[in-house]
Amino acid sequence: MRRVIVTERLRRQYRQRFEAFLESIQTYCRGYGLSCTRSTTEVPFDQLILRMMRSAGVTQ
Amino acid sequence: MLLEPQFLARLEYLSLLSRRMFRGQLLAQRRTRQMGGGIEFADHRAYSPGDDLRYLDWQVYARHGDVLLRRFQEEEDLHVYVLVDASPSMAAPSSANAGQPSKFDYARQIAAALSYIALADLDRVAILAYAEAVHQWMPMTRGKDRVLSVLRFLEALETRGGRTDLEAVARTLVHRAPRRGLAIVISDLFDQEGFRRGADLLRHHGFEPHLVQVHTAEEAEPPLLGELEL
Repeated sequence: MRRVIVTERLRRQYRQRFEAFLESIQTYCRGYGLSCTRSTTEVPFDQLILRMMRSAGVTQ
Repeated sequence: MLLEPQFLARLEYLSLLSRRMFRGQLLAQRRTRQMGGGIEFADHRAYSPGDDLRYLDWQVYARHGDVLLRRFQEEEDLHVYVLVDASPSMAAPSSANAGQPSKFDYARQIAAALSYIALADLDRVAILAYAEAVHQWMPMTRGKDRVLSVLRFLEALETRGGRTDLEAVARTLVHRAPRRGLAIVISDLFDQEGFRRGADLLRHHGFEPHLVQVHTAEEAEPPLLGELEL
C-alpha cells in the first residue's frame, strides 16, 4: 500500500496523461488504417456493437 | 451473466440487425477469383489446356474469336479470432455506479456479441483469453449451434496472470492459428508498447487487427481528491 495525496493539480495532470494515452492509440490506428473502437463501461454493450455496425455500414 | 435469456435475446437482436458484419466494407479484400463457386462475375482469363470448358465465354468467342474463361468472385471462409484481455487491470470495477460491469465483464459481453454475430453469419470463431501469455484458447468453431459453448467458455473465464503482453500473445496466435483472419483485441490497452508491437506483428503476418478499447468512466475522470492509500 502506498499513501498519496491527490490534489486538483495532480488530478489535472493525470487527466492530461490519460487523454494523451487515448490519443496515441487513435494516432497509431489511423496511421495503419486499423479499426479502433473506444468505449466506457457505461455504454451498454449492444449500443457499442450497433455503433461498430454503423461505422462498418452493415446495419439493415 | 452471459447465459441469461435476456442477454441471449439482445444477442439475437444484434445478429438480426447485422448483415455480414465482418465482411462489410472489407469484403473486397477477402474475395478470391475462382472458376465457379461464386455467382458474381469478376473478369476473364485466357484459356489454357485442361481448363473446364463450362466456364468458356462462348459469346466472346462468337463475336471476337477469343478463347476466354469467365472467372467469378468467391467469398472465403472468414476466421475471426477474439482476443479477450483477462489481466488483473481488467477487473477494475466501476465504483461510481454499482450497476455497471467491470471492464472484464464488459469485454466478455462484447466478445459474446461479436462471436454470436460471426457464428450466425457462418464465419469461424476462436477465442483467446490472455494476459502476459495466452491462458485459455477456445479452438476454432463454426455454426450457430456452437453459440452456447462459446458463451459457457466466456462465462467461465477469470482475470489472472501478470502484466499484459500482447506481443507475446500475438506471437502465439501467429504460430498456432490455422489460418489468417480478423484479430479482434478487446482490452484496456494499458500495455502501451506491447500492444503496438503485438498489432504490428499481427499485421505483418497477414492478420487484420481490430481494437476495441474499454475503460471505466473513473479512469478517464477520477472522482477522488485528498489522501488515499493505493
